[in-house]
Amino acid sequence: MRPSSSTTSGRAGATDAGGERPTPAPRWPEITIALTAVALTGSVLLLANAIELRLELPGLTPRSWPTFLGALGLGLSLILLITALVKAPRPSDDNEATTRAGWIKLLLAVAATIVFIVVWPLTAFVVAAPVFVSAVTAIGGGRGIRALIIYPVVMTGALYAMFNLLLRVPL
Amino acid sequence: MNPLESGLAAVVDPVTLLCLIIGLLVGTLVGVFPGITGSMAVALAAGFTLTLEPVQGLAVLLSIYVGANYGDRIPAILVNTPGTPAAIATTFDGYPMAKQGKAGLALVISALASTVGILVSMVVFIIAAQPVAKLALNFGPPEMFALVVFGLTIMISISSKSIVKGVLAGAVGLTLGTIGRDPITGDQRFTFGINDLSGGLDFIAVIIGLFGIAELFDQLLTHREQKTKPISSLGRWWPNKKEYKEMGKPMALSTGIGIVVGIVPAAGGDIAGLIGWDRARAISKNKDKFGKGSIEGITAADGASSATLGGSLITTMALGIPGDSVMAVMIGSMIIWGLQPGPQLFTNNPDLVVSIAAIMIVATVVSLGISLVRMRGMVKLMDLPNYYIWSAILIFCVVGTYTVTNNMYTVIVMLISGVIGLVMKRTGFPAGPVVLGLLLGPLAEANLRRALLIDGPTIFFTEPISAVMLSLAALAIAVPIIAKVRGARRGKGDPGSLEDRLADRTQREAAESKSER
Amino acid sequence: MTLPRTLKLTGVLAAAALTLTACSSSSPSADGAEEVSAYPEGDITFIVQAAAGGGSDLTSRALASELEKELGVSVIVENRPGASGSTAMQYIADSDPDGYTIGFVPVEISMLAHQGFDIDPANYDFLGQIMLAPGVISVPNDSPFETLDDLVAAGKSGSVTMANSGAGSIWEAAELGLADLTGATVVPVPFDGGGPAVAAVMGNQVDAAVGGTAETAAAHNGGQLRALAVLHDERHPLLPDVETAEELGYDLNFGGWGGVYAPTGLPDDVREALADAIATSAQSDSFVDTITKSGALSVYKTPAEFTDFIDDEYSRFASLLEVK
Repeated sequence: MRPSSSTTSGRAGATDAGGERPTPAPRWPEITIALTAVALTGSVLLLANAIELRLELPGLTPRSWPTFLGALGLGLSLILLITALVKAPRPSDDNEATTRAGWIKLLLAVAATIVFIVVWPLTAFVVAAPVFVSAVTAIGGGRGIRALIIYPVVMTGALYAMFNLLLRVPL
Repeated sequence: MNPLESGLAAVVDPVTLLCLIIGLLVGTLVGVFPGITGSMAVALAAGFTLTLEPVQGLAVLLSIYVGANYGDRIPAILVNTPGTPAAIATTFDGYPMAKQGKAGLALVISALASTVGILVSMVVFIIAAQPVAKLALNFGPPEMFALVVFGLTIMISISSKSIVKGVLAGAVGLTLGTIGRDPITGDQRFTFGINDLSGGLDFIAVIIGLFGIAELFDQLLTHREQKTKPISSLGRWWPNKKEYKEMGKPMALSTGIGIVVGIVPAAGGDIAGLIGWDRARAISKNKDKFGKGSIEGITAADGASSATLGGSLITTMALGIPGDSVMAVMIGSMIIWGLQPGPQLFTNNPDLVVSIAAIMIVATVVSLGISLVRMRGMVKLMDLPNYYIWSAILIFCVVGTYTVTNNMYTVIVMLISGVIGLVMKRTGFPAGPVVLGLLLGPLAEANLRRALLIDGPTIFFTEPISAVMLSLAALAIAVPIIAKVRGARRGKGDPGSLEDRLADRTQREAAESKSER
Repeated sequence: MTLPRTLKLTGVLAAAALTLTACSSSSPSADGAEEVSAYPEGDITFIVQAAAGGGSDLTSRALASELEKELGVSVIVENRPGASGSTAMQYIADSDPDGYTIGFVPVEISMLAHQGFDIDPANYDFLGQIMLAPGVISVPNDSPFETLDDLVAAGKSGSVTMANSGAGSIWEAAELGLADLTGATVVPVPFDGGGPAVAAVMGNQVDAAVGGTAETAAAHNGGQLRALAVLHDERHPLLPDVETAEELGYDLNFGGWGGVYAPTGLPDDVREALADAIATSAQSDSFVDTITKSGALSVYKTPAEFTDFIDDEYSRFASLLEVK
C-alpha cells in the first residue's frame, strides 16, 4: 500500500495505533531476514547435492542446476547479511503499520480457510462454502442478515451454477 | 464465391455471431475468475462445440480466447490478482494506478492496449502468416534458452528497492521451479517422497497466492476503519492527449515483442507481458515510474501479452504446432472437425483462414466495446464494504485454484504462497522475481540441457539468434550496474535519497490526481 | 430468490444420493438379485490423469458420453492432472471399489513403477482397452536418412539425437527400445510435449523423433517432415504410405494405449455391468469416429486380455527403464 493518497494517513495512523516505530530503525530485523535467507539457501545447496540420481551421466546432471541456484542464493544471502551488519538500516519503511486487530483478523482468516479446505471434501461444497464465506465476512467486519446469510448463500449458488452447470466442473 | 467472400459470409451468419457473443461472455467470466485460464475454458467448451459447424465452434473457442484476454486484466488492476498468468505484468502498474484512484483510467488503457495488440498481430496473421511462421521453427533449444535468459534479466528491473533482495527472490523462484521431476532424466528433485510434489508446484496457484492472497492478507493486517478506499474512487476514464502520446512508443515496441514471443512455441502471454514491460522500461524516459502506476508500463504489459494471440495463431494455423496452451486444445478440436492446421490449411481451406481472422477481429472489437461499458459496473463493485470484497476474493481464489487440478493440494500451495507472499511483502522482498523464476526456470534448465545434449556448449554462440539474445541479456545486466556505479561516483547515487525522492514524487502525483477529481 | 431454493433442493438430492450410495455399498449382497439391476443408480465419476484438452481428456469425454447412453446415468469427467498421472492413479487406488469411481488408464501405469513412483498395476481392476495411438519415427525433410536402416546405421557408427515428448514418456521408452534392439547409440532428447518434439524435427534441430500419430501424420502429409516407420503391427490409416517397423525388419511395437480401470475389488455384478457398457461404447461408431480422427486406432481388449497385456507391458518396461 504505498503510493496512494492513503499513505499519509497510513503513516499518521501508525503512531496512533501502535506507536511501535522507534525513530532509529533497529538492525535486528534485517539481520534476522539475512540469517534466515542464509539458512534456507544453504539447505537448498545441501539438499541439491543429496538428489538421488538413477543414472550417472556425463555433463550436466539433475543436480547441477539446483546446485548452481543454491550457491547463487547463498552468495546473495551473504551479501545481504554483510549489508545488514555493516550498513545502517534505512529508516523509512514502505509498508503500512500493522494493527493488533489486523493480526487477529489475519490469523482468523487463515484458520477459517484451513478449516474450509479440510471440511469441504468431507461434506459438500454447498454445505461448507456458505459457512466459510459467512465466517470470512464476519471476520472482515460484516454484520447482519444480509452480509452473513443472504450474501454467502447467493455467492455459493453463483459459484455452484458457474462450475457445475456452466463449466461442468464438479465442485 | 472466392474464399474471402465465403469466409466472411460464414462469420456474419447470425448463429455464428451468437456463438461469438456466448464465447466472449464465457471467456470474460473465466478470465476475471482467478485460477481458471483460457485454455481450461476452451478445453471444457470443446466438448460442446464438437457438435457445431466448424465455423460456429471456432467462433465459440476463439472468442473465449479473446474474452479471457480482456477479463483477466480486471482483477489484476482492481485487486492485484492476475486472472490468468498473462496478466501478471498488468499488476505491476495496473494495481498501483488503481490505488492512486486511477482504476478507471487503468482499465481503459489496458483495454485499448489489448485491442491494438490483438488487431496488429492479426494484421500480421493476414498478410504474412506462412513466411512468419518459419521463424518459429528457428527457435530450437539454444534460441529458447537465450530468450529465457534474456527474460530472466527482467528480475533486475522489477526489483525496484533492493537489487540483492530482488535477485535473491528470483533465485528462490528458480529453485522452486526445480521441484518435481527432472526435465531430462525424470529423477525426483526436492519431492521428499510426497507424490503431489513430483508434478512440481502449480504455477497458477503460486501466482494467485503471491499476488492476490498476499495483498488480501496485507489489507486484513493493516485495516483501519477510517481509511479511505482509493480504488472505488474511479477518477478519470479516458486518457488525455498527453497520455495518449505517452502510450505510443511502448505500444509499438510491445506489440512487436508480443507477436514474436507469440510465434515462439511454448512461450505465451505471460512471458510476453513481462518482456514487453521490461523493454518499454528500458527505452522509457520515465523509468522510475515503472511499477508505481506508469501508463507506459501498463500499455506495454497489455500490448505485448495481447499481441501473442495473433502470434500464436500464426504458428498454430501455418505450422500445425500449438503456439500456446489454448492453441493446443484448438488443434485437437479442429482435427475432430476434419480440419488439419498446417500449411495445407491455407491451400485447402483458405475460406476458413479468412473466417478465423474475421472471428478474431470481430471478437476483439466487440470485447473492447463490452469492456468499456461493463467496467463501470465492475469498478462499482469495489465500492462495496471491504468484508464483501475480502470474502469474495478468498473463496474465488480457493475455488479457482481447486478446479485447476481438482486436488486440495493445489489450494494448499496457494495458501502457503499467500503466507510467504505476505512475509516477503513485509520484509521488502518483491514477489515479481519469484514468479519470473518459477515461470522461466524450468524452461531455462530444460532448454540448456537439451541444447547441450544435441550440440554441445558452442552452439549458443554459433547460432545467430541465441548469440544476439545472450549478448542483449549481458547488456541488460551490465547497463544498470554501470549506471549505478557511475551515478555513485558523481555522488547522486545514494539509493536512500533516490527512493525518498521517488516516494515524494508519487505522493505529489497522488495529491495532484486527487485535486483533479 | 430462486437460487437458494435450487440450492436447497440440490443439497437434499445430494444427501439422498449419498445415503443411497452408502446403503448400497454397506450391504454388499443382502439381496443380490435386486442389486444387479440396481447398478448404476447414481452419477459415475470418470477420472482423467491429464488436464482438460489433451488426448486422454478427449478420449475420456467421448467415451463418457457413450457410457451415459449405455448405463443411463451421468458420467462426469473429472480431470486430476499432476505428477505424471500418478495423482489420478493414486486417487483411483484409494477410492471405494463400488463402480462409481472409474477412470482412464494410460500406458504410464505400466511404466511409473520403474521410474520411482509408488504405482502398482495390481491395485486396479482393468475393465477393457479402448484405444491405441502407435508411435511413429520421423526425420527432418532434408535429412540424409532415407530409411530406418540409415538412421540405425548412423546410430551404430556414431550417435543420433531423437526428440520425444518428455522424460519418462512412452516415446522416450520407444527410443530406448530402438537402441536396445539395434545396438545403435540413441541420445533421447525430451521436450515438453509432443508438439514441441515434432517441431524440433521440422526445424531440423534433432536427427529424428518418436511421436504420436496425430502430430506426426499431419506434418508428414503436409510435407514438413518424413515419417520412416510406424511402431505397430499394421499400417496406420492416416499414414498409408509409411511402412511398419515390422515390415522393415524391426520388432518394435510402441504405442500410447488407453483403457478403463477401477480400484481393485469391484463386486462381480458391477464389474460385468461396466465391462459390458465399455465394450459397447468403445466400439460404437461415434466413439471410434472421434478417436480415429484424432490419430488413434480403435483397439478393444476384454478385461482379461487387457489385464494380461498390462502385465506384459509392465515386465517389458521393467527391463527397458529400470537402471541396474
